Amino acid sequence: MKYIDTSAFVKYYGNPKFEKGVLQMSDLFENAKSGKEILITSIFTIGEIISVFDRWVRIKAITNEDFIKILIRLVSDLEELINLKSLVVDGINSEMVSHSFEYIPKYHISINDSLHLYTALSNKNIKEFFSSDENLNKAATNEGLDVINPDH
Amino acid sequence: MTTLTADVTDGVSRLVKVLVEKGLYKSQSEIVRDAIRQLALKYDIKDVSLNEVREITLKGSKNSKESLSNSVKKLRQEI
Repeated sequence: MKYIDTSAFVKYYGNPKFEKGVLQMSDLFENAKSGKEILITSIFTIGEIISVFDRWVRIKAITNEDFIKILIRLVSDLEELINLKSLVVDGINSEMVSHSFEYIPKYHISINDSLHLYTALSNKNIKEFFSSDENLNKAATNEGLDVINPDH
Repeated sequence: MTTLTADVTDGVSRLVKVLVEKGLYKSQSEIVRDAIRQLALKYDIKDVSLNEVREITLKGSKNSKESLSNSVKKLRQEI
């Protein structure tokens, strides 16, 4: 299983003209859609993705109509991958949140980062951790995860 | 099925409760699914291709001067 953090997940929707790592993430998602890969992420990832595009609406980088189109595509991809059992979306409970707190002062990362890290670490089947967030990647490497940064 | 969480005003929350109590919808989830379908109809969106999304994100990246992964980092810094 490969854990996909938000900064890596959004690259599937990125344009290779502007975004590094799009082709690598596209390959990964296409492999998942054809049953060759099983990906795992946190329910938090979906919230962060929606927040990223909502922020773009807020700063007028895209229109509200653009936002809805992205949302429709995102929901469609999630449904497809989940139905194929190629994507596991891990839920969050208060125990996970409280356990993730220790990583905040340890690595000076945000609660978002620490939740991704805890979710990945609590799943023993995860072989690789995909993220383009350098701070999170340093913490993940230190915790023994095999980190892949699609930006590199 | 995917679970989405949303913050709503008290008024919207009351309206959702009334719609379910009146038997117009079986659940809150059914109301949200219908609302999204109505939005798709309003904007005449039937299906959205990945290429279309990537054209939108190219525009968004150019306008914001941020890649998507950098936007995630900025979002996390705002917290």
